[in-house]
Amino acid sequence: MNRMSVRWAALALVLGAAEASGAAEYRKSVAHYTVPDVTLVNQEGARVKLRELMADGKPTFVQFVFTSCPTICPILGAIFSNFQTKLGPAAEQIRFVSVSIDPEHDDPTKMKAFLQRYNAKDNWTFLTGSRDDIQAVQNAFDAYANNKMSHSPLTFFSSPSDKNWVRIGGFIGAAELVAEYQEAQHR
Amino acid sequence: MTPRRIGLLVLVGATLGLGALLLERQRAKARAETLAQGERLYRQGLGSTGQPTKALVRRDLEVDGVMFACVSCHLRSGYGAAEGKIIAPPVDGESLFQPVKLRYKGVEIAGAPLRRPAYTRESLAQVLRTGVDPSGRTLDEAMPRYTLGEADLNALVEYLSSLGGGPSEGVTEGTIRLATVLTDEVPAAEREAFLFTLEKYVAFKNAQTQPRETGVDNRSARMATSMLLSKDVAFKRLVLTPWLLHGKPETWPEQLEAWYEASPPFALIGGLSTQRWEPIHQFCETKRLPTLLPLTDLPARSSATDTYTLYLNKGVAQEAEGVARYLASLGDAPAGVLQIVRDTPAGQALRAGFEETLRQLGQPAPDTVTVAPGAPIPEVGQRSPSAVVLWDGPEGLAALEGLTAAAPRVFVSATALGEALWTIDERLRERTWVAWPYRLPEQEERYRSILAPWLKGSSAPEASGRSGREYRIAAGAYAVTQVLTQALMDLRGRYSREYLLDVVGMLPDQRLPSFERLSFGVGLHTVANGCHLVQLGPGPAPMLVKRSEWLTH
Repeated sequence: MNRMSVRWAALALVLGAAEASGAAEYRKSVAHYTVPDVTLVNQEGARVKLRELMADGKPTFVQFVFTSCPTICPILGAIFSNFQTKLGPAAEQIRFVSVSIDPEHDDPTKMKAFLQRYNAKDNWTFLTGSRDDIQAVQNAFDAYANNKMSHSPLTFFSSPSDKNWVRIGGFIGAAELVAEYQEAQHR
Repeated sequence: MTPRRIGLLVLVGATLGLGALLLERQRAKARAETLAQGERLYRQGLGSTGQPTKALVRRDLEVDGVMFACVSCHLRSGYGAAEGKIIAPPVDGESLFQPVKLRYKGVEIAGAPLRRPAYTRESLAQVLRTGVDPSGRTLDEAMPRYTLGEADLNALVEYLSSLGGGPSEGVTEGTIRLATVLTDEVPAAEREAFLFTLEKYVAFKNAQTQPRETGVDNRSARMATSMLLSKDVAFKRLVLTPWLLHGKPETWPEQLEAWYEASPPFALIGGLSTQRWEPIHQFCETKRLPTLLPLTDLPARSSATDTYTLYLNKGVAQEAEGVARYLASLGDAPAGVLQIVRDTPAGQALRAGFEETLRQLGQPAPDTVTVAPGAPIPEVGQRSPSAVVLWDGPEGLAALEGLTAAAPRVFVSATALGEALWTIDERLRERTWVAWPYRLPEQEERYRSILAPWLKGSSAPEASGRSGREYRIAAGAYAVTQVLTQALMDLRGRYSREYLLDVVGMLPDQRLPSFERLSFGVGLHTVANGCHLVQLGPGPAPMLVKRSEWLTH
């Protein structure tokens, strides 16, 4: 390979990196988050105190999504959906919470339709609320995005043993998430 | 040749011709069916068997066509989307079946090897099934790996080939034609407030437009142009034609058709009418003509499949929805609500919004009294309602004293009342709750200064009275111009009507005069949802006192 073509190959590699991230891995970290004391609205239109919802010690999974989201949220939804199936009956003891980051548009009707698309069971709740309250939840999970179209794919789950949250950035496969979840249980 | 032979030849010829015609028709029909199947697959995620498509994301996430389809990421136009760090590239025929050259900051690098060869049917099948493109690169894991049969693959390839193509109607080398619909009952001052802002914008944009032949002729303009996301916009003039509709709405389709035939626009921007928008909405669906943010209190109740009109908000109905949400949020079921409806388009729109929202929230339907236009509102009598909702214009205020005596809270619509809102008797204000879908006046000052330069020279008063309908109309027109400016940039020279709607759907939220927040979304029908409940403070020029959060759910 002459010098010229090496240069082209290098440039192609750099330019291609953004799109050709086929082997992209998810990023995991563990953090302590304090769930804010806010009242949100679920897919049935009922008011839900977020802290009370999460106070029963059940493991909880959280994602930030919006129903008109083109790419990221459909995959996030598929992550919850597939994880539920993959984990089997044990998933019934887990709470799944999708929090809308588009409270102007995501009303109970739209949230219910979203849950149906992903075959959500009763333990999967979709919450919306006032913009301030939603923002408080986003901030609490260090997940705030000024523009909903520039948000990142994030999945959180609580680890009852040490009161911490596991934070997964990027898309994670079902088997991978099961493994991460089980590892956290035995920590 | 004997006449008999000639006759025979003619017969054979006719038979052959007819056969060819039939064959041609059959082929066209088959192609149309394939295209329709491709569209179903692309937009609804349904395969030829009628079952949802199946695919895998990130190796083991099973997704089906119900969860998402091609359209979710690549959008209706096929020109793709960008969300966060994930780019869904264009999948229109032109983009797929041509090689992609290596570019650096948008400039093609001469002599460089191809970034990706043109797709063929086979390589397209491969990328859909395995995620490996013809250059050997593996696509981002967000792209599902599909299980597609041959029939579905054929249909999809056919459909993708049909996407894209040249610019939509209304766009030429040097111009983008736009139109805006006004109806003749709109008062002259309101028409002026609307058109003045829009025309000023067009003149302002065109003053910056450069002739393509001479290029950009001064240094600062050249710099500005080179920084534009879409350099093409620097060379295109906007042509705006107001379409004035006269007479009864039944005659509008014919008038619209005549305007359209005379010069088809790329899109309708804004628009102003006090009547139901439905006929214009339907016309635009038929013509596949986008309308951006028409100013109407009575938008069409868009069915889920309608796509071409993006409204500012749900009109007056939005205020009734806010009241319904508030009542439902009180905890106890709002039993005993009395609904008084003036039998006018606005009264009925308010009623529909109120009842539908109560139903969605699982609340009981209210007792309802419908009052004919011009008739007095009957006494509440023996009933002692927990609340009254009064869906009426200024004439309903005559009954306010009796209603506030009968119920602790009477809810009204700010838009339906208009200027009359400010005349509510001070004694009745404590029991009168107003649905207010705009930013509170006290917080609007900063935004007035944004709009002021655009209104300079207009004969329409900047804000007539406290509710300032003309101010609001000018603000609506201004919102259209801001959305259009960004959308034209984001089109990056791809003047497709569907893409216009796609890129508007991806705009970031805007905070503009009058509207609390414009929030966009792909496939959504409105951008300024929600309202406050407020009460009038004391005095002749009352402040609005906020009584609820911004009500959207």
